[in-house]
Amino acid sequence: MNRTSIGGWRSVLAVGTGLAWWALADSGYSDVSDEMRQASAGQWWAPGDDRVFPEYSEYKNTSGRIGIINQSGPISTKDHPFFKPLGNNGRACVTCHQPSDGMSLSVETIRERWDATDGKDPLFAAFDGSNCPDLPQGEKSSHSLLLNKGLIRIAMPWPPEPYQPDPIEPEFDIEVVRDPTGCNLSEKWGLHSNSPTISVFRRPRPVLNIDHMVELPHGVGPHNVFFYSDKNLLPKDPETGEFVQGILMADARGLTPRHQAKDAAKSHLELKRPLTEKELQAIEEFELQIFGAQSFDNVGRSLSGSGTPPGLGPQAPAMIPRGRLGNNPVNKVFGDFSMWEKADLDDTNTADEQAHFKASVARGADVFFNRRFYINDVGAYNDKGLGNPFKRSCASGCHNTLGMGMDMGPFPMDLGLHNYPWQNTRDDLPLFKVTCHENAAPQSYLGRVIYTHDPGRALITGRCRDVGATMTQQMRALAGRAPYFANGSADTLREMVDFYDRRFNIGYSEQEKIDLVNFMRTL
Amino acid sequence: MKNLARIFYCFLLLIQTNAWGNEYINFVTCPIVRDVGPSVDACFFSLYQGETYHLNPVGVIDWGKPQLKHRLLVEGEVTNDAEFCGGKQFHGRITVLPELDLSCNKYMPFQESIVGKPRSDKRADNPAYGDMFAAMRADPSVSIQAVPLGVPMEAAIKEMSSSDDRAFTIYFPYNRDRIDGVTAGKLLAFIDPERVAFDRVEIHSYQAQTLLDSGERLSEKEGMALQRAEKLARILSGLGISKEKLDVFTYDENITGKGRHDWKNRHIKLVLQ
Repeated sequence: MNRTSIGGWRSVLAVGTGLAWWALADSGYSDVSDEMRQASAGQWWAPGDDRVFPEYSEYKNTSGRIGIINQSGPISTKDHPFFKPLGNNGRACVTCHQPSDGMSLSVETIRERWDATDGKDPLFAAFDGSNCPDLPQGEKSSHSLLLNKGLIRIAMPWPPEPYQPDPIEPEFDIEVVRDPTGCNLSEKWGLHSNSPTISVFRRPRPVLNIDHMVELPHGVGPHNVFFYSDKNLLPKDPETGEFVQGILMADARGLTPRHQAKDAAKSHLELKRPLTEKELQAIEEFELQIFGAQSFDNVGRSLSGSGTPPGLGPQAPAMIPRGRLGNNPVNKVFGDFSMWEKADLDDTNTADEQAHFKASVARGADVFFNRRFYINDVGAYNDKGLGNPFKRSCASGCHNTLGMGMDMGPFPMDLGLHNYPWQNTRDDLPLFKVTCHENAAPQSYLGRVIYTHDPGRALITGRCRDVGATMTQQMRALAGRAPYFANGSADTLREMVDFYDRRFNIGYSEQEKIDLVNFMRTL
Repeated sequence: MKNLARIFYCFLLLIQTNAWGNEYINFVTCPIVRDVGPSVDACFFSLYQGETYHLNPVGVIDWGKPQLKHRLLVEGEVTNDAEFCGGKQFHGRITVLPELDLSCNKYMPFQESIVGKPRSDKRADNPAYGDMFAAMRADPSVSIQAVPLGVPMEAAIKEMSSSDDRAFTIYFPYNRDRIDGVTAGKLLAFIDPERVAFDRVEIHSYQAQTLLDSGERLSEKEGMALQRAEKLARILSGLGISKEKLDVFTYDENITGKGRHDWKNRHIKLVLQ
């Protein structure tokens, strides 16, 4: 793929004021050629490919196109450690972090790879690309979780291997109740093996807009130093000794991009040696300057430029200040959508469908920001001092970070994605029984006996109150990376909305659901 | 017998009322949540001995709001402040008790006579927003630039920053080691060497008992003072004060409850030397 010129990019990024940016951003997209869009659409970036990762590229998805900004300019992928197979299984970081999928991996892409390679792509490596390494490889049924829900096996040591300096003494016992993959009861890979391991299955998180994930919260002191929850200190980067956020990974075990890269290289790439300093540096530098969002909607058309909401389009995450709360009347997380409220409804040059879609997106933004509902029984959240229940909207509750929509809290919570009774029935996932010790604080709303598909953060901390807690994600590039939630339980954005509607008894109208979906697909 | 019990109960109430007529309340209750309007947060209240109490102590931010499915320990002194959430207000503390109690599950629907107000930082008429709305109309990208807003705890932190205090007291919920957000902010200011110079920090940690109005005594679990001290020592150490500079004193006997602000006995006193 050739580098495509999108005039004014660098100068746009250097400008700090909104007015100047707003004017310049308009010019950015008009220069993106159809040829470039076609050239990059749907392409698989294979590990070790000798290609150029351009300064800006777009990729088709079911709703339109996603735009990816490679802010430092074009790079050759040939020897770049993000793109090069480093370990024994032929995978690279890019295998599970595909630009076309918002630097994550959609089920659609996974199935395409299976069909294109007859299941031989390194993506389907036995270790974690199958339901369990001791299953017969090459058969679809052995890779069903990846093929059906986009889930990668995460093998967690039990008792927890300390990711913090202090040793972990688990506050609970764990049993395998049901094991459809066979891995948790496997003699070689399971809980009772020589290296006791709990296998959980999770979606790859997008390596996109990471610069927002590593910024400490601003303006909400003392939470730039203290945990929002219990006023322990935030964790520190073991390499620098500096306080860090914990929102990169579902269970917050990888505190920094370097930390995550080390963990991923060892497990997902099956690399037997540590990453070199040079490799770590290159991976980190690359990840911190990749930005992106949906750039074009098939109905709404261009998502950038004058007349469009400023929080949309791939340049928005590159520009928006990091680590700020977006829960006030000015900063409505994704900014102002009022220009689309009655978008072009009277404009005879605009198709009705487009105008109505824009109005729907604006209404969705309003529902997202303003429609309050009771948030109740969320472990490691309602019990942080907020009260149970408390009334918030999506934006002022768990999706409050300006421009990104993850929780700036920070740290994982039990939204009901993994623990009974809220979880949708998932016969495909393992089921565990957690029994909390008498001297431990119980899970705040489930007590001392909890059934869960994934103990989440508790596999890191060993704490009972963390059972089932996982970290809310950024909301960018959603259209390109279905299915959703850490365990892929929502196949579509509509299913995601339906889950929350049921979980929190919100009572969204059908129109509100449609509007929310339309809003999210433009992010 | 019943009458005797009533007389004794009235006597108990009388001795818990101080010379100024303020009323001390110490009880364990199920909180009730009240809806006070579609665009504002709910509030919590409790019915106790024929009175309604708003379950957020006056002036306390981020102490840990009540939770349904959990009982709540209330320790306070009733104030003359205007009613809130349909109930009397009090100075003091609340503690969410950790074990599940599924009987605590009552919601009160919205009544037009009790309407809440949005927080000032959530209201568009907050002067802090200045002319931002006009600016946003001219340039929508203002909406994705960070608005510099004050935080509720800012004044308290500033006050500590400008003082020369060498002692600082941190209060705790019952049987817990959680400090609240305002205190955490003040703690950062307290140990700032730019504020006052110090060589060592003394940590004096206490645990205590609460005397309920019913006569029952709730005693904190063994080792609570130590748990609090160890957590605070880890925090101070993480903030850059080496462990060698910390002198930790724990007082493991529960301080006897008297039914008057017993929560103040659950504390750590920090002294800069």
